[in-house]
Amino acid sequence: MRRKREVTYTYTPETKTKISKDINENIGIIKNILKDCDDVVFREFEVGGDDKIRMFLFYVDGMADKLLLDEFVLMPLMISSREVPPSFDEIKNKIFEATKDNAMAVTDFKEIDIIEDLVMEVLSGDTGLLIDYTEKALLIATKAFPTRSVTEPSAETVIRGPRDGFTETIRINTALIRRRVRDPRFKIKQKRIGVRSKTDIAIMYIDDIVDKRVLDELNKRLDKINIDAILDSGYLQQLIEERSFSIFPQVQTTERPDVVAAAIYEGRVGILVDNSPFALIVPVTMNAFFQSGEDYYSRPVISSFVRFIRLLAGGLSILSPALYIAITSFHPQIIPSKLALSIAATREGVPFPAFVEAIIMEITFELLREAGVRLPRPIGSTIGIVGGLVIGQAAVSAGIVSPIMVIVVAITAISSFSITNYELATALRLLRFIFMIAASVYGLYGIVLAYIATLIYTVNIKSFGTPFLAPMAPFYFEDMQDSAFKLPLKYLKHRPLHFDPNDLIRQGDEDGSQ
Amino acid sequence: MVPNDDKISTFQLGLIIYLTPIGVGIFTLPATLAKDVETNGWIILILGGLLCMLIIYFICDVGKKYSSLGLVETLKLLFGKFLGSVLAFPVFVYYVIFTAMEVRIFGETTKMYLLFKTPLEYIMVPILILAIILARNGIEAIARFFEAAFYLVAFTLLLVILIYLPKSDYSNLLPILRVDPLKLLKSVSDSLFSLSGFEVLFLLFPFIRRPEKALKGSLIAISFIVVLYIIVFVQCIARFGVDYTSTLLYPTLSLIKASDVPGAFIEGIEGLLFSLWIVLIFTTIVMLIFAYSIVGSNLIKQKEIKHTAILFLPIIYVLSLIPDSIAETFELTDKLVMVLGYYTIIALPILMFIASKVKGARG
Repeated sequence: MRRKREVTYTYTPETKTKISKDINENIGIIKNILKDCDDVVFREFEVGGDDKIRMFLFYVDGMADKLLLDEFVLMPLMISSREVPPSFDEIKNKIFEATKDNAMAVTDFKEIDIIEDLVMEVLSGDTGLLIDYTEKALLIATKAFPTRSVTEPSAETVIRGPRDGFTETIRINTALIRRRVRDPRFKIKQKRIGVRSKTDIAIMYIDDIVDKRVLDELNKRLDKINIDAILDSGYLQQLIEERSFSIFPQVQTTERPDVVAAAIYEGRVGILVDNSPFALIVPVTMNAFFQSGEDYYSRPVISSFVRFIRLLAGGLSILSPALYIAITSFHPQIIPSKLALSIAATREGVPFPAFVEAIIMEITFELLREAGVRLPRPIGSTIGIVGGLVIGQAAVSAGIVSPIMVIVVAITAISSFSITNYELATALRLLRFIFMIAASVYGLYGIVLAYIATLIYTVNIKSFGTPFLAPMAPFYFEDMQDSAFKLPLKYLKHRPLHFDPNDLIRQGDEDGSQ
Repeated sequence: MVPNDDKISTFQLGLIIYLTPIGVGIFTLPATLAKDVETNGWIILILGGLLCMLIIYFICDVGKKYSSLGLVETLKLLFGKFLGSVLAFPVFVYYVIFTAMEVRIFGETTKMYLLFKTPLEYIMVPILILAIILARNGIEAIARFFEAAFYLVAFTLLLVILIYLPKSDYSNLLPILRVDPLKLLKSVSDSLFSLSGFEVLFLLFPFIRRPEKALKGSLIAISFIVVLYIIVFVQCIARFGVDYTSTLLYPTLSLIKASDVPGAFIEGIEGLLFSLWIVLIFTTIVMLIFAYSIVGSNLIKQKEIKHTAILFLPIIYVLSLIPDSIAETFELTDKLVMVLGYYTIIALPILMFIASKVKGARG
């Protein structure tokens, strides 16, 4: 009987304890670390005939594949090993190698010699196996936790294009990308961020296309992060952005693996975060926000037209209420007198100035929208009815707003919904109010001032070194082929210059030369 | 990833040289030309453009040689420390007064066409503040702003040019060359000063990524401006005739007002067009502020131009309010041009060109 040593151990994130030869000591430490963690299963067992050797196995219940452990780990070790040669005595001295190489029918092993690292891995779903007299532990890949299956992304739907969207599991997500980039030069670098959450994140890029400076900058910013937990890619996005107070997103988010793959092929970097179905893409430009994956799958003339419509929608969603305010209260002479008269006639009973009228309606619309998002789906349709009645009918007949204002709000709503990127649409929503205030103070001049101010603001934004308004400002003539319009795929021979990719050629000539 | 080195490309330089001169000057230009040389304005514009190109050649020749130095440093190198500073000081004054006058004329015009009841001060202050903010952000941001604004500007210019083509009577342009040639030559300076703003090129050399290409870019930019001016002038004369044009305060805007576009649902288009034009005036003001900040901070040996830009904001504001009326503002601007303009735009480049040649020959 070996003397049981008293374990004096307290866990801190910095401690690194070597696995000792004495299995009891190791078990003591592990049980100490995982004290009161009732979801962890510990299993001590003995292997061999007369001369037994003790082993210890532990995993998190619900995260590891129990069937795999039973059939392919415990079964061979405890039962089959007694039936077949070599006998236990022969391999007694190299029990670890024997276990690893001969006994278990499991594909993925890792050897670990630090207890804390082992515990860390076990908490991510793998299974730890300790063997007596051995200073190494085996980590068996048994991750099998409940996951959502790959479904169609709900925030970015397309008519023409792949239907798969990211899930909350990083492994499935990387697989979705790898299926689209079967190139050994496509790299998926994994990191763990979050002092307590230890969230897996994957940085994805094609080694010989990506701009190394972007990659270095990204790694630098990731290494600076010192936060307890990363719960969603939204955390990471905020932590790596240059301008935290900016209304414009400087990182692109998407639910669609094909969008990420396309970005990676352009020389940009994709980032996946475990537990988040939204991937991040850096660097990003305003131009990219106005594009949809679908543009590349449908015919060029049509997608150019659609892009034009989107740009128009962007302009309208910012400008229409502001223009209404400016024209009705400052410059009625701009519109034809007939129209001006009819607007004035409809506004006759309205007791508020145009600005107050517009603000009332826009705020109501924002409220409806927010309520519609938060409500459970069955009640959601009620909001539509209330909104339609309140905005459409009652407000007008009560004389609070004019019918023209209702049209303006409707135009704003429709245009802001037709912008592909949700985050950009939100930014433009905010800008709309700034333009409205400017228009109520200075009329058309105010709108121009707000436009100038917005431009000054946006030209100063850079996303990982790429100016936000590229390829418009700074102007890249070659990149105009895929900007507000899009040339046929045949003519898109090179990758976008403004992302500064290492390898420019996307498409060689027809004779195979590049 | 674009390197953050405070440099601009040749395209950006060309755009700056193109957008800086186009400001409030274009509104009055046809009237001035019609008054002086009647129908021959376009000849004067071409001659002025050519003269401007010659000066640009001088500037580029000197600038290329000392491309890492700014205007003040080059002057100090060529003429010695004290004399160089003395020579540079009027340039600074010129830019400060020029900015003030530009802002004032802008304010008056906005009041006239857009905001009839708003006090002048309230119109001038916000654009001045925005211009200072942009100028403080440095040349890279300015260049990107010019590019981003250019799309709207190009749209505006096309609108101005295209709408009025059909309804004009081009026989108004005749007769040609019935003015005293001496008078013609005298008004070349008018047309040259309508291009004033291009001389910021001198200050931009330290920021140009490829100084050897600056000449080409600037020449193309200037020729585009000359073409635009000629179109505007010819349209005004063809539409109103010489006599009427010369009596108008802003013939260019009147031209827009006089048009009725078939099928357009917008009636008072001049208000809308003027508000688009504000962006063009804004680019001019920004560049002028940037210019005086650079010259000023070089003179007092301040590294950051940010402080100089802010420091003179009150002075510009006060200066811009000195004239009592718009007529007085124009008078003052003319006087400024007579003294400081001739010095900055014509005398200084020639002087520096000769000095650099002499120094080159000696060294």
